[in-house]
Amino acid sequence: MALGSGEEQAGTRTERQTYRRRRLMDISRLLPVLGALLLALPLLWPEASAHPAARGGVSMSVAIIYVFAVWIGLIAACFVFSLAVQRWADHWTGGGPDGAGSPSQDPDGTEDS
Amino acid sequence: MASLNVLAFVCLAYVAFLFFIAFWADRMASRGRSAAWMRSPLIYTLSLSIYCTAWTFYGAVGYAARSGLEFVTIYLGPSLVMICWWWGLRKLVRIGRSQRITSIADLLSSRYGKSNLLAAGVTILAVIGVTPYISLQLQSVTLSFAIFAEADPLRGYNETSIVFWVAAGLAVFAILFGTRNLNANERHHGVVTAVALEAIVKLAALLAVGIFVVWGIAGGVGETLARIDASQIGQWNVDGSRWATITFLAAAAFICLPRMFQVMVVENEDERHLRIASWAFPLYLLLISMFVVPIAVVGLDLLPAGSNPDMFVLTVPLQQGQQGLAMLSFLGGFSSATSMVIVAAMALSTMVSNHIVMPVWLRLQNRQASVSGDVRDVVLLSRRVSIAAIMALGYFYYHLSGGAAALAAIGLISFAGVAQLLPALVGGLFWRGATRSGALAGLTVGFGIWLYTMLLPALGGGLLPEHILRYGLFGLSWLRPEALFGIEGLDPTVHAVMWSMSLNALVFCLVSLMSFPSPLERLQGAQFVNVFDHSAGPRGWTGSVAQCEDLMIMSQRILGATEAQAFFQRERMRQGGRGPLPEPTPVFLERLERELSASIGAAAAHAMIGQIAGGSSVSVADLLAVADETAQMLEYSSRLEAQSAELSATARKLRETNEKLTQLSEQKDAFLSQVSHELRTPMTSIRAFSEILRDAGQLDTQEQRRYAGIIHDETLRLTRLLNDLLDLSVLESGQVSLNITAGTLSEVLDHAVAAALAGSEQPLTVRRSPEAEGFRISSDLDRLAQVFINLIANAQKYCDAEQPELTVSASASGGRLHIDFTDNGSGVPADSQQMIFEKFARVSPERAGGAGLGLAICREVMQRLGGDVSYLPGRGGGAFRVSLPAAGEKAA
Repeated sequence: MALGSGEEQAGTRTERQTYRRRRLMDISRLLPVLGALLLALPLLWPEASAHPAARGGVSMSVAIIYVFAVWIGLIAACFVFSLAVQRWADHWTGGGPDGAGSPSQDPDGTEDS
Repeated sequence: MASLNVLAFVCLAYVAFLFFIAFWADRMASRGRSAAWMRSPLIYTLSLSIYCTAWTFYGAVGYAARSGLEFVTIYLGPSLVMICWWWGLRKLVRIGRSQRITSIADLLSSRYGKSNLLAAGVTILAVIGVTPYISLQLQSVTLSFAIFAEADPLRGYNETSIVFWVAAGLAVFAILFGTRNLNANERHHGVVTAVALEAIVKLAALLAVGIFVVWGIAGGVGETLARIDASQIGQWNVDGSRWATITFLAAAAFICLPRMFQVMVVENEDERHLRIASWAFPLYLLLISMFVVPIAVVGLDLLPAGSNPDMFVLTVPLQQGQQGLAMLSFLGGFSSATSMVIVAAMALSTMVSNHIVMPVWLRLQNRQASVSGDVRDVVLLSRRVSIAAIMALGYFYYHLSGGAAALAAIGLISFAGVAQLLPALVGGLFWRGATRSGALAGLTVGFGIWLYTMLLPALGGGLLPEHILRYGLFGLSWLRPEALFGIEGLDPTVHAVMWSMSLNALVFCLVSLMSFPSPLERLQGAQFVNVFDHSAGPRGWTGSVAQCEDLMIMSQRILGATEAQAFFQRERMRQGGRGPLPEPTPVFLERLERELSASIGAAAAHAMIGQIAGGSSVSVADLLAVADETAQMLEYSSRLEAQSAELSATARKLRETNEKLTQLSEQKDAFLSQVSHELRTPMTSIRAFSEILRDAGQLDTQEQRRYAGIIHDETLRLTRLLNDLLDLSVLESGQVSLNITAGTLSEVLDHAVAAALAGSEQPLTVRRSPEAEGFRISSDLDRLAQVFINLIANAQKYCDAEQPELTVSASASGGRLHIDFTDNGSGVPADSQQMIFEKFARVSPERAGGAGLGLAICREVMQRLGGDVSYLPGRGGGAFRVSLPAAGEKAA
């Protein structure tokens, strides 16, 4: 990182960026797990009784609303994540004008989980 | 009611429109000026929607009508996969681009050491797994035709011919746009654009039907929800194991399906498109599935019992008299089917031709395929034939299965089949220890179990005999296809997926742990697993001109400025372009590569052009090829080096020999002149005195006697000289035969002193110490005595003291015997000490009686005897040391 005249400022900015990137990586790990957990939650719902008239289980409309709400939530989170990636870590994705900015310069973010 | 004719017309018009779009997009792309939107993330996202096939379009509603919300798992799986794009898909896409992967079979083969066996296996698995899926699409199109045909009783309807024509038409479309050209990166802009368009059509159709159902029939969201709750699927009633299994299966298939791999990885323009697609594609899936349950519920309500729920999307609008909506819905289903079939056939044909046909063809072809156009034609032909064959397979499968099974069931079978690739794929991406043997073993096991527990039972029709289904293979009940290892009561899908996937993964891991990968495999493994360290993102070339400039700069470096400019000029003329530089068309790149390869080798040229034009990094195969070329050059140059070293060594030897010869010749000349000089002196006096004797008549007897005496002396001297010369030459040539005898030193010295002093007029006192001379020696005693005599005679001759004395002392040290002869004269001058042992060397010629050969002979003799004779300076007089190997202990 070339530290110019505003060396201190640049340093802080770099630190901040690195921190952001690490938290981004956390989100990227967390999101699918969270999504899978939330979508597995309906499995814990009480079984419907054989007769539809006996209101034992969860009604279909509730189930639909739950599943689609989780789904929309995940999409929204992913949208925000993609914006954050664009803001903080876009050079890690190929195709950028500085695509040659190899990730090996930022070993903190590319370590395999 | 819309007649079949109208329907057929709409279909054809739609297909013609698709043709036009695909053709136009291809044309734009081949000219290198495709519009920005064609490379946009939107197109990428929409092209991913080939995941939503006719199965999705029609089948999801049927699925919902049968099993409630379970259908949504088919979409939840891919959504989750897209959500973890940063860790999963991004890696896959990066690898696909940096390794120039053309299909999933190529990816696996490339990861596991370019194993063609693996690639062929994956290809076969994919063909078997996807064929039911293709026939499913044919079935759905046929069913939708049938719906319209029922409503049009005027016209005869032949199901078989419809299926046939649909299959043939799709094959033609796929052949036309999937195999138009051979692109290094296997991208098909035309097809992708057409697929994206179809994605919009099917989404619009399903949304239109859904909106019509919710607001047109049910009367709003609240009423719809109430209607749903009141219906027969009005309760959450999902088998937990199926929910989890199918979500997993859909996620796995989303990655492993050849057609998904094609659009997701191979056709990917830019890795950053994933960022948009990560939320946009789940959104697309959500929109597609939003109205599925309402349509199913309303269809169950409105339509008579027993009508096919798979066709509700069509039949509900038809029943409501919405002709236009029904037509749109039909087009949506048609789009889903066609796009899936086209891309799947294309992807499969690439795999079949690259991994099965080409290896076989190349093996059959004994001569080398040196002409590149040659191979290209074969590849294109094999792809076209493969597409036709795959469509034919789908058609026959449709006939075989009778088109009876529910759509969803066939789809799941297909999913489970291709999901068998998942362990090898994920293991290959994240685990460096994964090996080819492991992948092969895992795939074989998984595929076998899938075949046995899922595909064959589903096919029925006598392929799997009834008794095996009921009592198990060989009558072993724990081998029953639907209750392996005695675990009963599971849902067949869950059962098959659980066993096939878990055993597949287990075998894959175990065999990987136990086997040892080849070097190429390990290299590729490292490249794949650590792809983010190895590959920078592909460079984003904003315009083709920049790219061409780079090519120009590179070629100038290699070819030289004038030649490169001339070449580019020629190419520009050939293309008929007006710009300063030619367009980087494939033809141009190919020619440039050929031009460059003449200078730097084919592999290096390919790699360099790939670096600039393809935007993909150099693959291992390229590197190996470059290394091969370099190795050849190195070997050649090292051979040259060795030869030159040999030559210079020979030259040095020759020079040395020459010098020696020159030296020898000089020595010989000097020797000859010395000898002739030595001979001339006595000869001159002999001649002179014999002339006197002859010519002078009156010589008295005394004078005669004196002259004769002089002549006699000179002859003696000549004889002695000749004897010495002979002796020396014998000694030097090594032909002397030594007469080794044993004796004591004192005896030899006694003999020598006596012989040297006998008849001598010059007095010389010899001092000896007899107690020190008792050494026993074993040598040629006569020769040794000759040396001693010579040394004593020298002292006698040259010692310039008034009372000449010679001290002889003997000592032993270090296994050698030293005998020193020291006189009391002035000794040898320092500047002469070096040369006294040379032939004819005389320190003071005026006093010499000999020819100067004595010491030379002494040294030769002593060297023959294994000893030496040397001059000892600084002893106060002339001192010579004779050393010889000690034979034994001092005699008593």
